[in-house]
Amino acid sequence: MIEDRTLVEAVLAEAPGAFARLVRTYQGLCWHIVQRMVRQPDDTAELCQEVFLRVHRTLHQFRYESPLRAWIGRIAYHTALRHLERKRIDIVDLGADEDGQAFLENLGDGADLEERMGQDQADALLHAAIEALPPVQRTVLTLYHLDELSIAEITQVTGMATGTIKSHLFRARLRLRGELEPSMGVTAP
Amino acid sequence: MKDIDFRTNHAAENEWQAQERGDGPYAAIGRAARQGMEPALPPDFAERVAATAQARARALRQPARLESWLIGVLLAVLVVTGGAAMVFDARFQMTLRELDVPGTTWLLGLAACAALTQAIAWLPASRRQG
Repeated sequence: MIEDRTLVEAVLAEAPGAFARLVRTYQGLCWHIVQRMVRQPDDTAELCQEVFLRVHRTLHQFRYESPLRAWIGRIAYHTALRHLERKRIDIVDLGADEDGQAFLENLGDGADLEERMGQDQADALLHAAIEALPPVQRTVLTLYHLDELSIAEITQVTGMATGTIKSHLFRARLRLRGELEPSMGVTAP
Repeated sequence: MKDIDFRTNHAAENEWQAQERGDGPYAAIGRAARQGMEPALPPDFAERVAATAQARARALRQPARLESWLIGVLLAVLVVTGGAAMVFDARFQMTLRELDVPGTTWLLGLAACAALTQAIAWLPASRRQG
């Protein structure tokens, strides 16, 4: 939080290089969120620029009520969300089996899956499966595992309730497990 | 899509715990989720965005500055010409005497005070603070 304050105050005081430093610090997070949502690298680069221009314009409104990364993440998430809405792309899918019950009842032990197919093949399969997840599940999964945001921070980024984030994360990982266990013949929602 | 109630759905809660511990296939899932997301941004992305942001901020400030400068100039011209008319214009002084309104001088003083207050209010805050 002290680092956030120092950086924000430097940007607001128009210290040379301060805003570029802020962009460098958070461009990875911004890219992860926007790219996971929109999946088009050209659009993502343009939207990331839009995100940081908005950050620059509204930074004086930042009240230190959340970490700066969550505040910037929220701007990135909502910028990507508006982009998807303009393109009329669904951000969550409406599976029939809402709590993955059918899949939960047919789980294998999964212990030797990776051994059977090899780590590289498992990784390739999982990367493709992550790409196929609905945008919100893909984004929540990335924020949790790659950016190591807590569920509380993800709620600040997305504006969704803790239970909703937990449900998205659970369904995403369950669905990925389903991709690793095709012999089960059931795909989690 | 409804949220899962992990308190009542014990199978879901057990599976959630396995996910969190990274048991079995969830170790590979966690590893895959942490990989392969290098931002495809130009190396000078931060500098370019910063330059654009600062140029836009300057452009936004410019009209406001010009506007307050013009108002200041206009006000100064009005005050100077009005003052000169009162002091040097004989016809203006005669009109005032002919009007013979009691307290004309006080009314003029009040108007001048109001004009001065308004002029100070129009000045940008930073200039007022010195």
